[in-house]
Amino acid sequence: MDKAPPQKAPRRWFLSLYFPTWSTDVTKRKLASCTPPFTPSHIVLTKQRTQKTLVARACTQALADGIHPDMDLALARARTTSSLYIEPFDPVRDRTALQTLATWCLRFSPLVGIDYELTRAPVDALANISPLFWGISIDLTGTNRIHKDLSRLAHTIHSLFKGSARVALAPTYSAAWGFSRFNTPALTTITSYEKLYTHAASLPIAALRVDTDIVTQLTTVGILRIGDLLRFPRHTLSKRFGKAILIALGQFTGEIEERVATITPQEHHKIVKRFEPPLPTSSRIIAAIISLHSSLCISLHEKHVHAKRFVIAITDTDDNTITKEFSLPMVETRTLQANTTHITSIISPIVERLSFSGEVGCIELSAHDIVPFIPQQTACTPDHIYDSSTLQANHATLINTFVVRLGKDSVARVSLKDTHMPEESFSYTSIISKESEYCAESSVPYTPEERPSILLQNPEPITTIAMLPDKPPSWIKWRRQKLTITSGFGPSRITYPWWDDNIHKSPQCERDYFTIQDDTGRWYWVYRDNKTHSWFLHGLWS
Amino acid sequence: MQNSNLLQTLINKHQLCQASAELSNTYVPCQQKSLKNSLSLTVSEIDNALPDGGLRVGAVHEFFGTDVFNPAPPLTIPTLVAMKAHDDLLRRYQNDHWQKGHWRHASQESVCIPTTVWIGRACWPAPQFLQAAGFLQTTDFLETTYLGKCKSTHQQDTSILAHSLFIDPPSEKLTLWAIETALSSRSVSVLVAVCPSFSRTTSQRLAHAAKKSGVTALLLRSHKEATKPSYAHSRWEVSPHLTSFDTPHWQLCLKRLKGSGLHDITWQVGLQPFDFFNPSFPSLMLSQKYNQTAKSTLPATETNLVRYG
Repeated sequence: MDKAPPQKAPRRWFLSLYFPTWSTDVTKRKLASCTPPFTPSHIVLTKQRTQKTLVARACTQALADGIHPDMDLALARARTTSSLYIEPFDPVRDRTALQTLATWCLRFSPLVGIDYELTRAPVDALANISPLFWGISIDLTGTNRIHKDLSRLAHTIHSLFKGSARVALAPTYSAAWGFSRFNTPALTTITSYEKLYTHAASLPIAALRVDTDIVTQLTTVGILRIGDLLRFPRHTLSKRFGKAILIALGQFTGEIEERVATITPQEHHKIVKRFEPPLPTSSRIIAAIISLHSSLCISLHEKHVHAKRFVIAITDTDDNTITKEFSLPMVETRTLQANTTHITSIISPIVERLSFSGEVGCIELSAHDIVPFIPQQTACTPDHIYDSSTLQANHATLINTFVVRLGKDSVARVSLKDTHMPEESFSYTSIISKESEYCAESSVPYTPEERPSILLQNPEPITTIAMLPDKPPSWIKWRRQKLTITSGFGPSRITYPWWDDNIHKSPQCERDYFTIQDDTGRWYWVYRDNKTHSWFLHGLWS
Repeated sequence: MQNSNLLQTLINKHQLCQASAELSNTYVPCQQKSLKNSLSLTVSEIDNALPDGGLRVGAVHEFFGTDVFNPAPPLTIPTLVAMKAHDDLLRRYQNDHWQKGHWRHASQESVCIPTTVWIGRACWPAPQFLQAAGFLQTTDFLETTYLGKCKSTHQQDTSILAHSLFIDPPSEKLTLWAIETALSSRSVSVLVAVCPSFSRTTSQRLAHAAKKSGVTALLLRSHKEATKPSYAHSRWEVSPHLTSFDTPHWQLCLKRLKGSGLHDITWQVGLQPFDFFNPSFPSLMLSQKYNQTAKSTLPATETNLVRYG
């Protein structure tokens, strides 16, 4: 053996939870919660690959019947006599469920994480993540005083999951991960480094979380277990198989420290109030909501944040809950608590539109779309020509009123982009969206006669008579009207950026724009698409 | 140039605070003009012909199109008025800023001026047209020229686009509600809206709201509504005009101006061509003025001009 195990007691403790049939377990729980409950004996989740339906995940019973991942579904049906419950594999749902469980595990330790491979994977690549990485790790270091005996905690957690989870407690994160995945018993507790080295000898190389290429290379030369690997001098391993294997080995034995990629619990900003006796009239309900809103705003303000969206949940005496949301994109800095008239004008129509039976026993108000609140300097002088704080408060009131009555998509701001393509050079974004901040850092400037005052949302095709190659049209037909053109200027060519890789995918690559005047004096902005030679009307000076 | 030299001299003498006050005095003519209770139509001849020196602030002004088939409202002239109004507000803000002896430039701070509101998707002007209002040239007169943007990262964008709010009400009823709400707000400077048909009572309510809050409303209305009575302070008719100029031209007819006795006065205006060597704020230029009754006296040669570029 290259190195003897350290004699000192472990300082860090990690608990790893691995769920071999996590996706099917989630499906099983979903079916069990249906009314009436449905408990199929065999669950198979499928995926599509080149017009073939393959098995992505299978439950324990299905695995026992010889159904395994990547098997053809038709073959899987033939393997078992029991009826299969089949549904498409939804990795996003399963990851969300795992995150929820990880958040629940925060009661054991403040440092809880999901496997890094799963966390960093983009949504479209989630299906390709190995089932081995669907697990939770808990850093129990320093929690001995609370849990007393960590081995007993591991037993408790194992029994909590009723055999659906494989649990391992070890002094290193890598060892806990490896033992939970590859050790034969479903529960492993490694309480010392000596025990770690002894048990590690029987684990396969894959337990080190190294690339499959390295595992293949090691298998080729007959190194199948970690114990085999530990017998070799480290420098020879490095020369032959690279540094990655040494790093993985160091992390496994605790020579290299490794931390859990922890999750951060989402902070919920909400306020709940129960009313005894219940609120009988809408005016009292409105007053209660305004009071809750004021309290919530103050608590948000103390945390230097403000919310753009609020959700009201009203529970009546028959335990029926009605949920309604309203948006307040702007916060009034000066009149945060005082302007109840404005809040009343927003909340009153919402409450009056709600229909609930009986009286209201509980109101819950929660804040969403939390954004940092940046305090702004108000006017230094009282006789300033515009009192900025009053103006901002009025502006916030106006925007909130518009958003609540018209909807968040009906109130927009414009953002400019650095492109010559007219329709791509700007975009209208809802005032409530995070991208609604005005941006014109590098937009292209034009003079009023270069760009029309009205730009059509989509260029409208027109019929023209024009002399090639570059004369403006002398006659156009637009919206069933025939227009005689008396003068025109151009062309002014606009092309897509040639350095863009998608240039060939674009249907219109090059445009020749003309400014033309018809016989009544109207001015239009038309262009010819040089690829298709079709003409379009894009704007007008109205 | 004189202002720059004056400032540079005073900076050298470590008298920057005094420089602000002195510079503001040099801006008295423009300040006086911007402080008057009117919005400029960007043509001095038309402004001078009106008793208020332009479109009265805190009033409703209606613009009617004459196009029968063209669905686009007469937007260009009201847009230029709104751009000019925003520019005047910035000047006013700037003058106030300098008079208070603030050594920092207004564009380097959070500029707090009322918003321009555009109600109805049909009257949302093309952002690039609005952008032509000019690159901080009013507030950044020491640092920026019309053609070059010398905006540093810490500067606030004072363009009209940054202070515009675009509202798209889903129905005519909500459009009227949105117009009235914006007119009642004290955070709006100019309101431009495509206005549906409304009753006399609604018109009176809008006029009252505008007067109370000081918001100026530029309502774009269909030519079919031109004969219906309203409480608007002024009514204008905009029709395209065929000319030999290189820029779009219109006939701007003042149909009525409350309390002045002026009616049926027509001006022929067009977009001022941009001069790269003498850049100016986007505005209209006057081609001709004549009474409505004298419309037939238009030179025949102008209408017959055919020119290909």
